[in-house]
Amino acid sequence: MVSPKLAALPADVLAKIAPITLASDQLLPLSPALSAVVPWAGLRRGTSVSVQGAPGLGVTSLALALVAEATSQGSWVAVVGVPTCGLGAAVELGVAPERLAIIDQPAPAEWPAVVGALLGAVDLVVVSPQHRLRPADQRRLLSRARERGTVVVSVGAEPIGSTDLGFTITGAHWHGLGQGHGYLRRRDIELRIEGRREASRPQTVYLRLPGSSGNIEIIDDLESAETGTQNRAGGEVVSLPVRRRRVGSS
Amino acid sequence: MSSSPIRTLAVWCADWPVVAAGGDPARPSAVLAANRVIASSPAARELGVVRGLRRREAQGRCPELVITERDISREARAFEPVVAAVEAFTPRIELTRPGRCAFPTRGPARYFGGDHALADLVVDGVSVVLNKQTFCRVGIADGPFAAELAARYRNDASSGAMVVPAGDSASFLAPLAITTLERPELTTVLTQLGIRSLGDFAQLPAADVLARFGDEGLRAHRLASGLDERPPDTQKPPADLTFVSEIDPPAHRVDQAAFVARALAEQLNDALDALGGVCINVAIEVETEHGEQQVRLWRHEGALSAAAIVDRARWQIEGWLNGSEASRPTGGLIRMALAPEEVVAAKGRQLGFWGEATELDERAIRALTRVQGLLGVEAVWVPEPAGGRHPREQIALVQMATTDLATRIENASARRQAQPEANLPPWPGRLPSPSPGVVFQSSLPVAVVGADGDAVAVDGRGELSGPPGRLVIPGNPSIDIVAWAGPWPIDERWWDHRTRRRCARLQVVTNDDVARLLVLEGGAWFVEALYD
Repeated sequence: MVSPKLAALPADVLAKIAPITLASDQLLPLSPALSAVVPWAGLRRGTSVSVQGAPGLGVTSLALALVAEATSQGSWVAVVGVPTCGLGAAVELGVAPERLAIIDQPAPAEWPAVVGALLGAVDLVVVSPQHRLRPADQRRLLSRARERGTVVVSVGAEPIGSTDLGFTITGAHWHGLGQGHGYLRRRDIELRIEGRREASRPQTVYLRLPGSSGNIEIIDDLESAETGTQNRAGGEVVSLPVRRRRVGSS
Repeated sequence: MSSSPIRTLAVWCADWPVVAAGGDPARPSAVLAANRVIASSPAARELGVVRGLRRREAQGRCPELVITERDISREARAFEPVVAAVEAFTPRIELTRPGRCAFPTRGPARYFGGDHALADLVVDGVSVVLNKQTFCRVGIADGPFAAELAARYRNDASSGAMVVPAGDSASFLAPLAITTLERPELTTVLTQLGIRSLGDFAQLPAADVLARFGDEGLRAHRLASGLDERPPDTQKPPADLTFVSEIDPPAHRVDQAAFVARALAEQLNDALDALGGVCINVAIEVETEHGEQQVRLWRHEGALSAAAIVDRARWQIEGWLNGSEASRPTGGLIRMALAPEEVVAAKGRQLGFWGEATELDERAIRALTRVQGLLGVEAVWVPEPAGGRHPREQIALVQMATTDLATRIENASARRQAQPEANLPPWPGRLPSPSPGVVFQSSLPVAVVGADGDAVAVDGRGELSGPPGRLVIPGNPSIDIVAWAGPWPIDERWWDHRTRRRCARLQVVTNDDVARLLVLEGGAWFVEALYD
């Protein structure tokens, strides 16, 4: 779409001023474990992502893990309305604390204005609206995010509108705690990934969140992940089957 | 010794950011950038609002302060009439930042009858344009640095001129404070070494300054001694680095001209890259179809990137096209030329002198400041590592308004390079990682009962009265605890009865696969965090 006045400029000037966007500019980086399971090996700018699951299964950690790698490479993340966000966990998952801002949950009337002010200025916004957004507001928010290239990660009960990429944690299993000994070491989660376009076929993956390094990891020893191994020697692991949780059950 | 620096006239308009922001000059107002005051009106200064204060401090000193965010393009546009007034004396004006401009005085001084006469004429000309919004001062000395200091010398809030006789720059500069160099990192070190004035600094041997502070220090030393900032053998750029573009049809709008400027700026930077140089002073010349010309020299302390050149071209053209009736051009722009005036060797990425925040950071900081304005300063927080044994303490949140985000970014990257994780302070009694994902702002009271239904307690020796069997969260049915570990008692700050904390911690996993951190304090159990 070139306006007639611009088209009147000489061709070599036009060629120089035409915007070129590299493919890499369109993607925000993800940590190695997540880029292995997400279809585009990165977060497309301007898309909407939802992270859901029963409380306590790892929703907050997964949201932080999604934004971590990008912050370590210069992107900013603003977390709006998650007052209980664990900062120690954020740092362990790789979020750069000097590019993290935590914003109190705005009143429903101000919510669109606050999130709108952040779109385009920061690369990632994590939201958790406690009120019901009007469909018009949802559409406007998502289209503005797409236009300005900010990834919106919505955490919690209901995703905002239809999302491009949806993560649902359907099961979890902690390792490391026994009957009066040990300490929480790592957790294996069962994750369902679905969405639009390349992600439209739902897939179920298993990840370690957090792994022994504190970061999200791929599980390379799958046998011990699926169900609790009946490994009583040393009393390390409890035999817990990974339960499938339906979204919305408390 | 090198040749003496060029005799320069510098014009300085007081509090330019405040003037450009408009508003009533009698009311106290201030302009902020990144949460710090960079300029304040005289009324605000009387109440104690000075440069460098944070927003909260400034508001504390003066509650009715009118605060505006800095907008450099607005300041540059507003400064254009002043530059146009100065242009009556000489065509080539050098601009560093809005509010200041300078030009060499050799020709104009001879024409107008001497330095003093020229200075008075410039003051009168600029005062007419400023129209009592602020005052302007003019200084004439050898070299632009000394001239600017001469302009700001006798700051008694009135217009005037100060002429430093030729050759007397060094003695004029000697008693001035070292902070006038405007290189904060260098000046703090020098102040700590006991060097408080430019004269003291100038007395140090140049070779020692170069060895200790490097090239930047040597340039500052030359300035303090009253010499040119760069030795005169700086390469004069070859003539074929001037890039000209014909604009056809004539451009009447700023954005059309900005497009052309961008193409030219990138051509220029590519050519300079090939020579291994960067431009620190560029002449932007524009011409209209009726022959009106305007040329400005733009100087920048760091290096002029293509984006910086385009910005300055835009300010220049905006100011010209939107100026007063008398100075506005009568036709569209048909020609634009960029010519580098001073080129220095490129030393890798030149990001400002001491590693500033990047553009992404500045954009984010601006948006967060706006959110602060929408919700209040108590709604935007940033994490600060504080250290402690409990998840709530280890990383604390501080209000964004009380910190300087740009310095945090510099410090964080420096800290990450310098200090590997192993050197962090130990905090014995701290729970090992992984840290919980959800930390409640106030712990939830719960009940923990054993298999026999009795509450579980921890005795003075740190042992549980029995294995915990069920967790009862008020308002929910009780859930079975399937795995647990602890108790890990701690007795913190036993010497201070106000901050003493004596508690025992338990990690539990319940049969819904949720892991929680339980704390027994004062005989009652609480859920402090959820490993979400």
